[in-house]
Amino acid sequence: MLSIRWGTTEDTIELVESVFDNNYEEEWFDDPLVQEMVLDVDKSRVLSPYCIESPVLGQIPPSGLSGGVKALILALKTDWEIWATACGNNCAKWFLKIGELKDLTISIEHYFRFPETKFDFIDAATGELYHSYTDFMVKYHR
Amino acid sequence: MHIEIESKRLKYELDIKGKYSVIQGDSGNGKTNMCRLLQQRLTGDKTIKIQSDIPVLTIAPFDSGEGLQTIRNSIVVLDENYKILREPDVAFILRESDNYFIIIYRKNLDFLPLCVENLYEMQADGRRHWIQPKYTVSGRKNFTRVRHILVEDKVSGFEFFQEHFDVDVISAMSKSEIVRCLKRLVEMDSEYNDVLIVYDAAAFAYQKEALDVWLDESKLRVQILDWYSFEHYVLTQAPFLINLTQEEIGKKWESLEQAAENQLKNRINYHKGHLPDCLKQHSSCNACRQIDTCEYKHHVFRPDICINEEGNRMEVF
Repeated sequence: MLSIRWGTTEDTIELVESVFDNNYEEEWFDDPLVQEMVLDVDKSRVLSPYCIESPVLGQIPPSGLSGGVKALILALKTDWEIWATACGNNCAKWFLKIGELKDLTISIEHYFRFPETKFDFIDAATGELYHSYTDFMVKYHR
Repeated sequence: MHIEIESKRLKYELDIKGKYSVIQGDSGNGKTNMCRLLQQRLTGDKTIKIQSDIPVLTIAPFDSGEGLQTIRNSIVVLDENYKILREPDVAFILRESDNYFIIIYRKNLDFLPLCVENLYEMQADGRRHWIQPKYTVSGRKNFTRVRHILVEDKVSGFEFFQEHFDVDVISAMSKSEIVRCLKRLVEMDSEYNDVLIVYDAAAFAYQKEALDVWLDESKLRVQILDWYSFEHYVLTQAPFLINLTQEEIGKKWESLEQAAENQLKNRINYHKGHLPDCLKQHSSCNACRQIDTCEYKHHVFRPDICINEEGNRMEVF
């Protein structure tokens, strides 16, 4: 189930790029879901755990991936609360997908646009169940 | 200002105006790579080419603002991973700095008076990257079928509508309260509709998206008056006929709203806290301490905003 927090806590992983670069594990790139996310968000192909093929930059290491796809991989592969403001709207559907597979908490500090506004999630601050993302945003957004 | 940053594999073409520009957009569109190029250029990689009328550079990611103090009259690019953007006094650091800023950051920087036209999305087509404004300013002044006016302003802008238009006027008390205020009004009165929303485009970029999404969902009949600010609007009217632009004010002011307020204060007895007599329908200038230099001495303020086809604007001049 997906939990969303407006704002961050001390435990939120905000420096997504740096934390990913220093903590990713090679076997994460064997996961078809990781490969699919890299292809969808960065338009790049995972050739091996050490090499990604970008249509613009050529062959790059995993550290060359975008901040958005790094955040998604961390969300899928760890139990850390990830700062989803590192992600563009093209990552939103993947958080919904990961939330179907496991319990996941993300922090947001911007107007994150999900593909639809009606979906179930938990307000991580209160534990309250929400059915409308717009209601959540109206409550918190400033 | 036109900027080009180019390496063998990447090319960025940016057109910006005003002290602050913020770039957002989908992940994987090369925003962080632009900053990496500038860092590499800073460390001495001369194969990275930069074209601009003034220097374009970045600071060290761990810089808390000290490095910025040594930079003047430049365009400074900041990325979301930079420490400076997490400093508690970042608003002060940026305001006091004599530079333009391009900030690559999705977080709502509420302290930043960001014009709706200065919020960009990065676009990419292979090697080529460019930025596109997310929103525009319509400048619309004619409105029909308005039953309510909702103004973000709680003082002069609000009083202006109360004074000149015979329609129900409500203040949201601040720009960040507009959506919540609308929601409350609709909940209290199921008939609430036909609303004219008035916001200052000069500093409404971060609130615009929430407003648009909520309006899409609510299906409320709404029209938008998106002047840069009340003061900017007054300056565009006779006798001043001044249309301040972001290009004109450069980095001297954080926003058109601040620049316009300053200009207006120099011309009439204006303070943001209330609507002065000279901007009311029945002015009594005799008691005004600035009557000698006031540019309304021989003119009458006649706003050209028209609300409702039957001419609800009170023509009593």
